[in-house]
Order: sequence, then structure tokens, then C-alpha cells
Amino acid sequence: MPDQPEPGPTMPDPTEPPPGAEGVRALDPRIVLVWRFALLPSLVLPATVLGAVLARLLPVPAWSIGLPLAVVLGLVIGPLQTRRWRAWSWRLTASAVELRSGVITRRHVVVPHFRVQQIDVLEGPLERLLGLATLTVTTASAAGSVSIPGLPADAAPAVRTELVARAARANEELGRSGRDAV
Amino acid sequence: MPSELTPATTRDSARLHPVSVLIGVPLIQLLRALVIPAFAVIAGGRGGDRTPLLLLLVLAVGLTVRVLAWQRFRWSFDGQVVRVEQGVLSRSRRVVGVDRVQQVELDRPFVQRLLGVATLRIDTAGSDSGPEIELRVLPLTDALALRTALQPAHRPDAGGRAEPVAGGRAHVEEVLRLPLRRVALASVTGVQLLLAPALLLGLLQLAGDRFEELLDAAAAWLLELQAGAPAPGLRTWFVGAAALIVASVVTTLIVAVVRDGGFVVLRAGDDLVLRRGLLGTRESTVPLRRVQVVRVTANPLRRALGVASVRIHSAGGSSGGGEGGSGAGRRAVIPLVGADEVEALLADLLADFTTLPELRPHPVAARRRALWRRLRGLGGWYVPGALGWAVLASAPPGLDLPLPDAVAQLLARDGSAWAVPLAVGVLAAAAQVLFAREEHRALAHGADGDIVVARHGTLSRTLSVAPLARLQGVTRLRSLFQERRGLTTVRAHVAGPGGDVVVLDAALADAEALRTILEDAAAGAVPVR
Repeated sequence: MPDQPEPGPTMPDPTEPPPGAEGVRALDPRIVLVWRFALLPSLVLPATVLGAVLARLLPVPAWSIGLPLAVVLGLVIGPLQTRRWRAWSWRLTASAVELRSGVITRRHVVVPHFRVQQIDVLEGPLERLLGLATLTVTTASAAGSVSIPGLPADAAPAVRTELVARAARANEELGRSGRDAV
Repeated sequence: MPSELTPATTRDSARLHPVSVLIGVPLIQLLRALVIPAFAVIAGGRGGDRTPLLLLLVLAVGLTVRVLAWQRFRWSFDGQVVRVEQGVLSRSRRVVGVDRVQQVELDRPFVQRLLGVATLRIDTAGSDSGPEIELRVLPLTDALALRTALQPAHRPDAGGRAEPVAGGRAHVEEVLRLPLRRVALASVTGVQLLLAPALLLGLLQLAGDRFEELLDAAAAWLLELQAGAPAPGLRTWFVGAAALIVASVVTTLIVAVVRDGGFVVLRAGDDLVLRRGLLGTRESTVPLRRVQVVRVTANPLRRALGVASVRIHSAGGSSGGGEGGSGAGRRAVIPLVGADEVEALLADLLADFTTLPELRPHPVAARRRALWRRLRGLGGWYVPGALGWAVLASAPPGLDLPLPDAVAQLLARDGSAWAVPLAVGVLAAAAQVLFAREEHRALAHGADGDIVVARHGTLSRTLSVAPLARLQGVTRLRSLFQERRGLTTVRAHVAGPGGDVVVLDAALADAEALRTILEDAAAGAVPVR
């Protein structure tokens, strides 16, 4: 995708891309906001309820429960999500899509173009407000579907087109020698 | 019913065999559909004299639905694609190309054999549950002809001879035949045996409260035969338990022998055929080039006896997980092979396999990680349990809790609030240490130019063997804790429901080397044999 400008943040791995490969890309920084909002129902709400219940039941002052809880929640919502964004990167190599992510457990996934079965672009309500999209690449493997969140919505179709083209090329090249993706 | 199916030629769409009105759905499903409304009618009790009439109505409606379903089910095969149109109210149309077929199964339960019909299931990659196409039921000749036509090797020659696979095509070669004693051994060393008592107990529960009386009477009768005098309670129960165990073993044996008797693995051209069954027969056909992963599993008992079971996974959609499931994976299991035969068998099952590569054990740090994982899992039930115990022990004595006497007495003792949790905790932790050691011992991996192998398990060990040429992708996982101990987990993605090949907690350098091999392979660098 030659017309794709780099989003700009510091690149975790600025290697010289080999032919057919492209540079490492970060996610759109606005995805952090989506992540933070996603934590509301799954973390903040239950934690608040639990804290309130504990403060009622335990014979200690309410602040001794509320304060640590607020600090932990603040850390998770604040710096951890920023770290998460910084840990995220992806790129297209000559033969595969490569994704890196994860703060505590670092994940590195390689999905070869040849094995791609399906590509989905998804925009959730909040993502649509922010103009973001999530691109999901599915292979025949039960565990092999990977998502790239935080693509600018106007860039997503181009990424998809590029991926489809690469998948088709790989299939043509390898299919000639009688290979099957599954 | 036209039964002169000629493969590779276009033909008009056909219905299933008319008898599928009755046996076109599994018996359980049929019963459920009929019995529940029938019960509702009876239990409703408002029918009065009309109850039989209402029952007849239920039956008539059920039958009509089945007839309509049969009437509206059409299938055809033109040599390239199988088409199925079905549905009474909402119609569905399915098209499956021959080149997408992962696994074909010819199932002939006893009743179908008597009637000269068969069920044909076609699995493709990607269907979530159940086979992509199920033709239940076809005349046997049609089913055989269609299966033959679906085999890639036979599509060019449109001969389409309709005969069972073992019926003497020149290139059929027997890979393995399980003697009956092996089938029997598999049944009494497998998990089915553990399920059997539960099943029997469940059946006996149906007899209601009289079950215990029945058992007592039976035991007393047994004992009278031996000693003359009737025995007290404990002995009665002992005899009852022994009888239950014997009955379980016998049931399991009979079920296994009927289901798996005459088990044979064949190679028909480029296909692998697993055939089994005494009364009803079942033949699963997996093209060799569709084999995604083979798993060799042995529980401690089987390991001691030097045997293992082998499961072959294509990417065929239906998962039906576990040994009791009904998915495609379940249907391609070789119940028991000698440990010394495994390597030779793998060479027959995997086109790319020559010998097992050298397996690299994982570093000692992996054992500590295993222990840590186990303790963490233990904590999930231990901490709430211990807290609950402490709360109970500190409850005021007047409180009348619905507890067994032994537990209540234990709770009443001085110091039991901490002594019991401590004792349980120490025992449980000690057990985890032993388990972690076993787990670490099992961990190993290896790869050569053609296959990747990983071994894991605690008591039961599983060796997973996957051809590199079929891998779908690779994930490397490294947590902060793993990083500190120089460990990495690598998952090789395998197509279909067979699950990934997971190399857990390998040494950093080993894992990186493996990852490089796997990534190249997944991208298509490994030639197909």
C-alpha cells in the first residue's frame, strides 16, 4: 500500500523492509479511547460494585478500600492502555501478515497470505464515532483468526484490498504446484 | 429411486431413499419430537376419552413433517459439485465442490444394513458443527458410487464401480487390522470405562427409590448362595459395588466390540479408510493430503501396557470434541495400537513422515512454571474453600447446619478452623508438585523438514504430529514471567477442529529456531510430497 502514510508514533522495530515487505505500522492512537470505554462494563462497573459491597461488610473505613481500588483502576485504564497501544504493531511481509501485541504476555502472530480464507472489516459503534475500523483475517485454523484493531476507517478498504491481492497471488503461485491452503 | 449413479456425469437431482421418512433423523431426535408432545397430551389430562385421538394426531403431524422433509430434500452430483436442497418452510441450498471435501463417511447402523441403505456424510473445512452434507439415507449402491466419485483419485476414470472399499480394488492395501482382543483392551483401559458406572447408576436411578431395596435383595440373595446367613449393610454395599463394576466392564466391552470390532485401516490410493463395526459398519475416508494433525494419546494404564490410541484429524468441520463426541475427529480414531507400531503407522498416515525427529526436552524452568500454573488453578477453589471452612468453624454453636455428622463433628473440634485447611492445602500442594513434575517430563518438541512434533500431558500423554506443509500460521507467546526464565510458547495453527500444536515453555533459542521453521512452512516454503 504505497499511499499509506505512517501514523507516526515511535516504531518498535524499524527494520529495513525486504522486497515485498512493508514497514512496521502502529495502530491509530485513538484506539486507546475505544479500549478504555470497553473497560467500563467489564471492569470498572463490577469493581465499583465489589468495592461498595466490601466497604459495607468489612469493619474498615471506606477509603481504605476505595483508594487502592481507585489507584489500580486508574493504572489499568490509564497507563496500561497506553502501554498496550505501544506494544501493538503490525506489518505485511513478503509472505505474511505479522502482528505483535501484549503488555504482560507478548504475542507474535504470523498469518501467511497463502492461508488466508476470509477478511472482515468491522466498525463498532464507538469505532464509527471515532472513524476507526477493525480488520479480521481468518484462516482455516480454529485459533487462527487475528484482528488488527484501530485502523483508520478510510484506510481499512485499502488494507483489505492489498491483503486480498496478496492472498490471491500466493494462492496462484503455490496453487500451481498443486498446493492447497487447507 | 434411480440407483444407476454414474459418477462424473451430470444427473438429475434425486430424493433420498423413501425409508428416510422413518430413519432420516436420529432415533433420539425422533423420540424427542414425538414423546414430548405425547407426554404433554397425557399429562395435560384434559383429553379424557380423546387422549388416544390426540396421540394419533401428534403422530400424524410428526409423520407429515417427515414426509414433507423427505419430499423436499433433493441432492445431485455432476462430477464436480454436490448440490443439496432441503427444508420445508425455510429452504436451504448447499453446493460443495469435490476439491473442498475433507472427509467422507459411510455409516451403516444395523437397521440401515438390514434395509440395504446407508448414510453418507461429507465434511468440508469451515463448517462449525456437524457435517457439511449428510445424506441420510441413500440406497447402498448410490452411497458407494457417490463416495467413489468423490475420491479425487477416481474421478478421472468414470468407471464408478459400486462395491465396498475392501471389496477388491487392486490398489487397496491393508495398513492395520485390530484383533478383537485389542478392541477389548482399548475398551477396558479407556475413559469409557469410567463413564459406564455413571451410566449404569443413572439407569438404576430410573428405577426410583426401589433401587436400593432391589440392590439389597440382590446382594442378600448372592450372599445367601455363598454363606447362608444374610449379611449386614456394609457387605451388601460392597457386593453391590463389585457387581456394578463387573456389569460396567461387561457393558463397556460389549459396546466396544460391537462398535469397533473388525477395525481395519486401509489405504485406497491416496485415501485413508478407517472401517469398523460388527453389526453396524462405519467407514471414514480421509484423503492423505488432508490429514492436518495426528495425535497419539496414552493414559497411565495404557502407557504401562505399552499401547496408545491414535486420532487422525482432517480439517473436516464437525468438532464434537472429546472422546465421546460425534464429530469428524471422533470418527477417525484408531482405538489401540502398540507403542512400538506407532512410528510405522505415522508413516502410513502422513505422506510427509519418515521418522520421528529427535525430541528436545524443555528446560527445568518449565517445571516451575507448570507448578505455578497448577498452584494458581488450585488457589481458585482452595482460597474460597478455606475461607468458607473458617467461617463455618467460627459460626455460633447453636446454629444447626445441614451437614453430615462427620463434618459437623470435625468442625466442632478445637483448632479445626485452621488445621483442616492447612492439612488439605499441604496435601493438595504436594500433589501439584508431583503433577508438575510429570507435566514437565512429558514436555518435548521436535521438527524436521517435513513435520512438527510436540508432546504434552500430565498423567495422560499426547504426542501431536503435524505436517509442516499444512500449517496455517504461527503464534509466539511470551509473558513477563516466561521471559525472566528464558521460556517461550509457540503455537502452530492447524486447520480444522483438531486444535493447534502447542509447544509449551520451550527454551528461548529452541523456540526461536522452531518458529522460523514453522513460519516458512506456513507461508508455503515446504514442498508437498
